[in-house]
Amino acid sequence: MADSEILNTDNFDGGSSLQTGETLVVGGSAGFAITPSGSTAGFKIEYLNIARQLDELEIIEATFQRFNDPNEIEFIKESFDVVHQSKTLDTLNVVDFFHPLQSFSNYQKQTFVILPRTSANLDPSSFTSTNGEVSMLIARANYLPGTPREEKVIFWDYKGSQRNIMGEVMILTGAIKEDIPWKGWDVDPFSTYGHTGPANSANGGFIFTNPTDSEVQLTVITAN
Amino acid sequence: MATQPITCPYDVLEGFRFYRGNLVLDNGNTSNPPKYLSMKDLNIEVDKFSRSRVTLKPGAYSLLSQTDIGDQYGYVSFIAVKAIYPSSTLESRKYINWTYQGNTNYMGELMVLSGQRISSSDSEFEGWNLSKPGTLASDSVGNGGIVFHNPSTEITVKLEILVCE
Repeated sequence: MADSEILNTDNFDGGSSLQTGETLVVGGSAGFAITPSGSTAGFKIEYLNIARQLDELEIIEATFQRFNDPNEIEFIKESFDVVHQSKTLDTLNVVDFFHPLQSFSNYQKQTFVILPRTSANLDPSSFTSTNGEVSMLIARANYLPGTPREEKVIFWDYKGSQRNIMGEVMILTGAIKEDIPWKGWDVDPFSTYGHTGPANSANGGFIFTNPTDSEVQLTVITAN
Repeated sequence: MATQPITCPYDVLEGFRFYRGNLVLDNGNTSNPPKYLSMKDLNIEVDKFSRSRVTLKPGAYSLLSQTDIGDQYGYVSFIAVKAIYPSSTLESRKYINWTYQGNTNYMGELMVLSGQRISSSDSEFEGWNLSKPGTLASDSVGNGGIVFHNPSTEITVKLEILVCE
């Protein structure tokens, strides 16, 4: 049998795309719809499952390899986007975010490497103009490549009374006033703003703890 | 015909903002402000997400509860909240309260919390539990959900919220 006859009569996909009136796929064709029992959801699947050329096999493979790609949160330009492959599913735009530096403001950037099962105290810097309070704290944690999703976590303790967690990013904001404690985040654990008295976490301050078996690099920017 | 009002493209005040995937310190005088933190490499895998908007009138409370988004114990791995204040609001008045598991803190214009649920040394969970209070057995530790409160007696605050698990 000639190769051309094989192509025309024995289509590998169960039906010929080259001739009409040939083998129908059992259970569905362009002529009638498949109606499975039970309810169905309103979703749309876009994929290619018939290869007419050899190089189209790669497209089919790619389609099914990436079909179960997870959704991801990415920071694109000035927004937090929920993306799936090349599609943006939703977005939280933060282009309007602006933290002004006022006449009394200071800011500080700190980077630590926190070893496994150890802690690091956030440096209180010298936010004395607002009695130790900051109105912006942005933290980014960088984990070693290949770290499983469930191990991308560190603890943050605040004022010695509350423990929370962060994964890869944390942004805290508030409001401050010059010379009085107001509605910000108190990063100063010292009893005196000259830092001459003893430190006590109940007075303020952040303590970051790495509970994992791998080191974590943490970058924190604070501003009042 | 009325003409469009002329607005200044930059606020002349110096401050931090996000620009092209980075946190920058912008003084309004350059198109290439110094970068302080890159956010471009942020990549958090999530399964489910929810987007919502809330209007907090003066003195109002709002419970953020996403039982169906969280895992089997009600925990989520990412919460982002943007607060929009009236443009005339003083900087020192741009705040609301948020209460989680009995602790009350403040937020200004933005808050992002993240992290997968983790078991602590006393075999209880640490993380961000947004289950509806009283609906899950894990609530014995403390009710889930975050309560936002607008303490102002004058201004209305709008919240845009993104929650993911």
